[in-house]
Amino acid sequence: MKRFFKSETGIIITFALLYLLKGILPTAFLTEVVIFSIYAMGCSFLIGRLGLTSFGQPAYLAFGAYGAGVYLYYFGHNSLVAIFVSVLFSLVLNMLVGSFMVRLNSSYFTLCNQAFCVVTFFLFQKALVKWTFGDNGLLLISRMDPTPIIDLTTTKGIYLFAFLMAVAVWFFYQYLMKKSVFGATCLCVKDNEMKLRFLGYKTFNIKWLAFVIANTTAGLAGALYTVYFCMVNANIANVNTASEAVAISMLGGAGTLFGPLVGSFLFIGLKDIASQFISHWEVLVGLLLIIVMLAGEKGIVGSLEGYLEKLKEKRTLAKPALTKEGGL
Amino acid sequence: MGMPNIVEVKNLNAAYGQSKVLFDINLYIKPNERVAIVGRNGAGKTTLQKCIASLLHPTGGSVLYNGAELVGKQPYEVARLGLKYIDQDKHVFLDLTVRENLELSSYATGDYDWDKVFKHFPKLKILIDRKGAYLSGGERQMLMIGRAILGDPKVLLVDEPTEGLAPSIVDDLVTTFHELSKDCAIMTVGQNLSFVSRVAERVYAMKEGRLVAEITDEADIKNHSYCEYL
Repeated sequence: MKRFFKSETGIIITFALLYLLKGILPTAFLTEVVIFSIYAMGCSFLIGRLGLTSFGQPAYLAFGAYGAGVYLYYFGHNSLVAIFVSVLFSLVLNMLVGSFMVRLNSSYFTLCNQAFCVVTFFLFQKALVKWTFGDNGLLLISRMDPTPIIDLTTTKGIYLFAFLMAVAVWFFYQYLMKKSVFGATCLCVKDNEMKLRFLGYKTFNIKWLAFVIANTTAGLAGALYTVYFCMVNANIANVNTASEAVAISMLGGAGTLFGPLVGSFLFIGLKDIASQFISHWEVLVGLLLIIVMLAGEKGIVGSLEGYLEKLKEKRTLAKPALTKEGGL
Repeated sequence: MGMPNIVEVKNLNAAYGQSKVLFDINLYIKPNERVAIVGRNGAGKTTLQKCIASLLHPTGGSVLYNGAELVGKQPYEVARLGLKYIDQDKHVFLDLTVRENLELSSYATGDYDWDKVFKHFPKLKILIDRKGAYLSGGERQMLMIGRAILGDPKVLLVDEPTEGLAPSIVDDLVTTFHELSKDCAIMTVGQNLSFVSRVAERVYAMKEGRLVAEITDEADIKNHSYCEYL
């Protein structure tokens, strides 16, 4: 089962099922889940694969969101081009920011990212208010032209496009996590960075590349947000929402392939349902997170994978590995 | 005229913060030589190896590898030059299988000839799909050495290789070190004197951060006569 869900077929079936849910669940809800899961994927990768917890994710989300927003407001009207431009914009900024952020470890990395998020929020809200319009934001509803093939100005179009983007992101991360040496080196950075240096790896490059990939993914989610909501304001970089990506990653299972999707589904679901009854719905997310963490610190998908892995290892260990010529 | 030294340490000094731990160390390693450093706990043996591998920057002196200065280089640069360090904690990458651990080393060095690893450690071939977390101490040691010999290093620095290993495994390790030294020099650090006497061709005795003796006589090494210096 585990192998199935980690395979390409698993990704396609999971997303196909999720896509079919639009007959049961509201499209708006599903679109938000998909976009949020792309956002959480980068964060989950950083936490689960590199052991770097970032409370600055809203800043990287905002890079993408404003990349698309500024393009649509000032330069063009094509949403597809806006998304492409914003991903490039995110990529360049993350390359710059990453070159100093990844020099930091553990708590310093976490807190400096949070500080950077505060700076970014200030930039978009106050310093660049002349162009970003601060809290009022950039309203894009009349500035987006229908796009060919998939019309991103319609709910159905953006829903389908976000889904396709998510599938592409999932395939990319599946390759990264399961099939590439780079993915393995990321895991080793988390496990024992010094050991990796003994083997001849320059770990700075590994962390930098992982940072750029993870946060450019967040940038893509930001661009989709802007196109989906037809607006962007400074609140997207608000540091108060910094824990959301981390909570979703932990809830679903940091570093797992499907963790961000499960976490986003639960998080957005709880937000939509519970907020109708209680104003502080975050309490429920907090409680759920504590319960899941106490159950094994691996999140929902991580715990499930761990359980299946134990079963597999039991079967492997049952087979004798020693032979006469076995050596040491 | 003898062979040139592959590693040469000159007037090496090192400190952890304010406390000085190495004092004017001078030593050398010849190609394909098996050298051991012995000393009590806290003598500075591991610190010396870490300085050679550039894991710790010395406060003074120099470390030459094939005539090139290693002080100031990063550990990954030293590893790429062909000087590999195997530390004592038997830590392999726990989430990766034996195959992935080897692949990691192959990717870094461009050396995918795993037959030489399996020649020394055939058991690794059997354990190829087992995760690092499920390997025994001996198996981890095999994997660490196997990983290190990919890329044909010229010097292996092995810190306390016998720690926590069963006597039968230590015996195998002696044979392995003799075989490995046909291709590279080995500098081992340890307190297992029986192991040292069977492996080393030359022994340095360390005491309180200083090299106090160099024993080259085979009989002296076999008789553990260097113990008087420790």
